[in-house]
Amino acid sequence: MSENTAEATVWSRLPGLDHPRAFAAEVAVILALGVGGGFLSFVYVNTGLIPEPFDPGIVFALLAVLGAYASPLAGQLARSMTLLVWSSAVSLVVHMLAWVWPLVMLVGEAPLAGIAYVAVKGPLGEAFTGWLFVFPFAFVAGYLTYVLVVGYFWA
Amino acid sequence: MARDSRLVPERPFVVGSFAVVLLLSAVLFAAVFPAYVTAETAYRVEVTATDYTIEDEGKHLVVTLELHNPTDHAIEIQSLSSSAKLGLWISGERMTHATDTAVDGARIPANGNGTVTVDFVVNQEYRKTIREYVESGRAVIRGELEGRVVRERVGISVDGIEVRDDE
Repeated sequence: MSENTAEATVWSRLPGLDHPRAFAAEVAVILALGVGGGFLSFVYVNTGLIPEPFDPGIVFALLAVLGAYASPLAGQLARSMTLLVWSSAVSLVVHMLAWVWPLVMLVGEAPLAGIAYVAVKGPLGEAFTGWLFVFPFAFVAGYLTYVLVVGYFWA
Repeated sequence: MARDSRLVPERPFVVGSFAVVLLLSAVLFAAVFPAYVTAETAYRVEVTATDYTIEDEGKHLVVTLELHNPTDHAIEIQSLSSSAKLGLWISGERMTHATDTAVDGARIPANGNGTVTVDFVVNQEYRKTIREYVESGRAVIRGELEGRVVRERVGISVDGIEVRDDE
């Protein structure tokens, strides 16, 4: 009983997530949205590497669609915002990791030098800029569009 | 159990279509990421000269370069009928013009080898010198081969490789 009480205290910090299973589902959705968003923003930034028949427009649209899913997956406006914020953070991490991975890999013989290179030479800044110029305009815009349209017509 | 947990049975269409979008994202990423790593690490391609011929009374020096691509994505070497960014150097001096240098294209598969030939047009005044230096293994090629990974341009460094005939 005392364990259940302790759990309830922890989970209830997030409104509506008063059960570990609900909390786990929320985290899973955040991770899925974030990883998918990070993948797509990375792909979109590397336009020249997108294989046929895909073009950047399709990738942008997919990213917007993915963002829109934050609303129906959450079911509530407040919770969908939580999903949006946390999945955006996860997507940034995924995007940046993918971006700097080859640079770290290159200096596999000297990992510390690789990390120093990544930290000092600026690829992290490039990665962040790339993400910043895509993600809000696709993922977040997709979410906002969905919320506005659904809210206007069906709420 | 919370009624509003996001489990499949409550909203199968939303969850199912979301899974499809996620799958597409993963497929796209899986297609692009090896190409990205290859484009970023193209300098790892190893270039060696394996053969040469002197043709047309010394006017053309045709060198075969073997390329080893250690990456996980193929690299296309661009065919250039002139203006290749490669030069023939002897004793620290460039002996050929980029505008007179041609490269034939090739596809270097992932983790594989391929060959390209470079055709240097040699000015009349340098033909004798170049023949001597090439035959004694003292001529080197420097510059860059132009390649593509999907549609992204990559430069493959050719850094002072010795012109020689392995046969």
